[in-house]
Amino acid sequence: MSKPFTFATGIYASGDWESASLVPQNVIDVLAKYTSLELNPEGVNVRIDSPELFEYPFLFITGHLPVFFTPRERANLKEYVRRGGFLFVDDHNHDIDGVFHKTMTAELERMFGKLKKIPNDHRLYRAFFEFPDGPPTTSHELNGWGDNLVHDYLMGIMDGDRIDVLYSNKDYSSEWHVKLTENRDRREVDDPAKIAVNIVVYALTR
Amino acid sequence: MNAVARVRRARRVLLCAIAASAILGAAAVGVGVLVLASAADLLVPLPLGARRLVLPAAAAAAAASLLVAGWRGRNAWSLGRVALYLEERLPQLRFALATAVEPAVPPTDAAREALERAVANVDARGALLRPVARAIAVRAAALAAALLALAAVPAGTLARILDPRPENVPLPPEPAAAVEPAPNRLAPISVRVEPPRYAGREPFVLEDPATVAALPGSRVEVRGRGASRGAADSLGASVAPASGGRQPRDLAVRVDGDAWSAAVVMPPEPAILRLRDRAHDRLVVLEPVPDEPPILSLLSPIRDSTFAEPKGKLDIDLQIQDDLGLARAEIELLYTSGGGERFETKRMIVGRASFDGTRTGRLRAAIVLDTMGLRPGDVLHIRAVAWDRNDVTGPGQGESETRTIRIRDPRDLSDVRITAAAAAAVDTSIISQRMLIMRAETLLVQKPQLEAEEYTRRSVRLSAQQGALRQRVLSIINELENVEGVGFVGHTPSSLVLREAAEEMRAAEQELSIAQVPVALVHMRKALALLEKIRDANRYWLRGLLTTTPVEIERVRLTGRDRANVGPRDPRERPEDPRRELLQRLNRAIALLESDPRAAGDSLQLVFAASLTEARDISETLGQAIEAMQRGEDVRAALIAARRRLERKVGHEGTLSSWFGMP
Repeated sequence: MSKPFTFATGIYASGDWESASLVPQNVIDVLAKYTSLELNPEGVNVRIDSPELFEYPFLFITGHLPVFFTPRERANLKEYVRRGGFLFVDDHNHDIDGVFHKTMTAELERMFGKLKKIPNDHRLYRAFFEFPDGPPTTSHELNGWGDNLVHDYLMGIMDGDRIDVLYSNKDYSSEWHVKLTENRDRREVDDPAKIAVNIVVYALTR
Repeated sequence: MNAVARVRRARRVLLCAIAASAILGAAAVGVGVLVLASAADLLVPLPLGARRLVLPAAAAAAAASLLVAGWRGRNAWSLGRVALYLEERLPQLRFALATAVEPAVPPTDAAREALERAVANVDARGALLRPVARAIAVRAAALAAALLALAAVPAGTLARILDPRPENVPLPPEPAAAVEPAPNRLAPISVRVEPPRYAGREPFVLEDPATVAALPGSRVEVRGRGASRGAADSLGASVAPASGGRQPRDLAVRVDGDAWSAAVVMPPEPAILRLRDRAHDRLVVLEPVPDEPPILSLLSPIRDSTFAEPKGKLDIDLQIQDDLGLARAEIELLYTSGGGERFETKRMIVGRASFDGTRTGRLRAAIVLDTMGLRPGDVLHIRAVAWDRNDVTGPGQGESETRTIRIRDPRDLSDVRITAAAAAAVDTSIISQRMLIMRAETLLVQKPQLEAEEYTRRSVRLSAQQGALRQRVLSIINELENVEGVGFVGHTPSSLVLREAAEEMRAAEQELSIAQVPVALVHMRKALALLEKIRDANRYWLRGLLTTTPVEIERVRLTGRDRANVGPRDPRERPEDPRRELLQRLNRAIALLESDPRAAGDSLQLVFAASLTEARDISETLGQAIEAMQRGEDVRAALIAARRRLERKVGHEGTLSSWFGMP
């Protein structure tokens, strides 16, 4: 029996998995606003070393701090992706060489192999909205808050053309970690959460 | 010939027979020792030291046999005993011979003549023939049997016994089928495996193997005979990955007189070595036995913690193991501080050690938190890394689990609920429960040697210890459910699990009190699993749980404007199940068993090689079946067992839940 889409946030032992606690609400909100997807109105937090992980086809992981997965977390995540689960990891630090970036990419490459740049004409950027120039720039990249760098591509663990693991250090977590009312007031043209719609739709239609 | 002369002649015959049978017997014993040692070497290759002892042992056994035979035949030197021996076989002598040889009193001439007449009247020919012939024949037969057994020992094995050297590579014997017009030069073969230098292991030789299992980087040399019987260039060898995908790589075949050889380095992935000789070919599976990376256990700190204040000393205790030999290890500390979007992380090494190839190691360090300038909200990650000495495919790197030590930030209380760190008593309870299980298992093993009363007494004592441990767990539950100061009274997630553990302990306690140790063990293990669960849970719930806020979907949808361009979407194909494909290949090989056993054997070797990466759980059964097949045994039952195991895991894999809705 089919189930409504549930936004799942991964709980891991090290680091701060809970650093962007408002992201689920915002993503669910934009999915409801722009799409007719059957949605679970509430996100879930799921331990990535638990069997419950396999209940959710989409998993979001974020954080600022160094990440070292336990062997059970690694094995479970690997199996999750092998079975077709979609993993979206966002670097909440927005550092090109920050500790989350370094440790998380090391963990991902240890589990899945080399991360590759996703071309900016990938189907991900046409899955719902059109993003002809690739991933949209975040306000954090433009206002000089972080390292003052614009990351003009996302990375992924690819199976041919298909993305199994999506990795971003654009800090969408900060962009989407806002009070719901702030986001709801945005007009479609400048809604920073529109890319979330593409990511979720792509994940569910690969 | 008078009576004394007759006895002297009989003595000579007996002495010669004893000497002959002793020599034959000693030779049989000596050869027997060689046969036994060769058989043992065939079953389990003997180490060099043991093989060096075989020849001296055979010589010593032969000498001992010789001495025993000589001692047992010592009576043949005495004329009187020889005379009695003859009297025993010729009762009609009526002791005339014994009296003539050893008279009690000197006989008169008349008496002597009477005695001589009595002896002369008895035909003594043939009296010794039967016992002498039997003694010699038995030992000769034993020697012949031992020599036949020795002749059946493969030449390579015999050479390892007779000329034990580290590098001796025994060539297989000349093929018995030399009379054939086109003998297969691929059988028999011997394979010498030289492990990589870092492993510190001795080379070893396998005779006629279907599979060669060795460390990646080992030099594998296949040798055979018959190079001079036929064109040398028709001998060929190639190696290809078992998983396919790459073209086979040809190997150079060297010819030295009548011997030929080909060498390959053991690859990191399973591979198929194919040998060719005109119309003949032969497969040998190369099975890499990986050098495992070091295994690290952080004994202290045993779990993640949150410190109320950055004070005190933190001991770090690391235990390391490696299958071949350790090179070095480090304890790494990552210190992260900051907040919001700005975090700073420093990495430092707080302990370091070198190991000279030992298989186990210990590394200790201490951190004084007071001196580190830690502030509320800071996080320490502690982990250890160790490297082995593998300089071929490595070095293998092992990492410990990471322990996360947090300094409590009072501001966290505003949005994240902080729960107290788990009582340390849970950890000690786990250790105690594990100890109790080990003691109960030991008691069960010792049961056959124990009196019933003693067995019951020990079981009752274990019951009392289990009861004491249950009380300790109950006190932890009490602490968790009645938090002083806060006024909390009620169940917590941890206390509920602990209650289950206590219940299992109570059942175990009861069973132990009536000496039902096997039943008690079931409950004891369940209790341990529950205690482990609670310890694991604390890693995660230490920092509390986020609450989730529902979105008012219907309200949001009223403002929705679905005008976006929907891109093309392709459904995802389910990945191929390698076990299913392996099952199909195994079925095809089984079907060939009757009609074409040789093709079936080759197919099975390929399936075996693929199973080394795709289905390790059937590799052992398949390997044994291939060896049994080479010995001409029926392998159908083993193959069906492997097939059942494959079938059990095919098609029963869980999948992600389905989802609904298209934009």
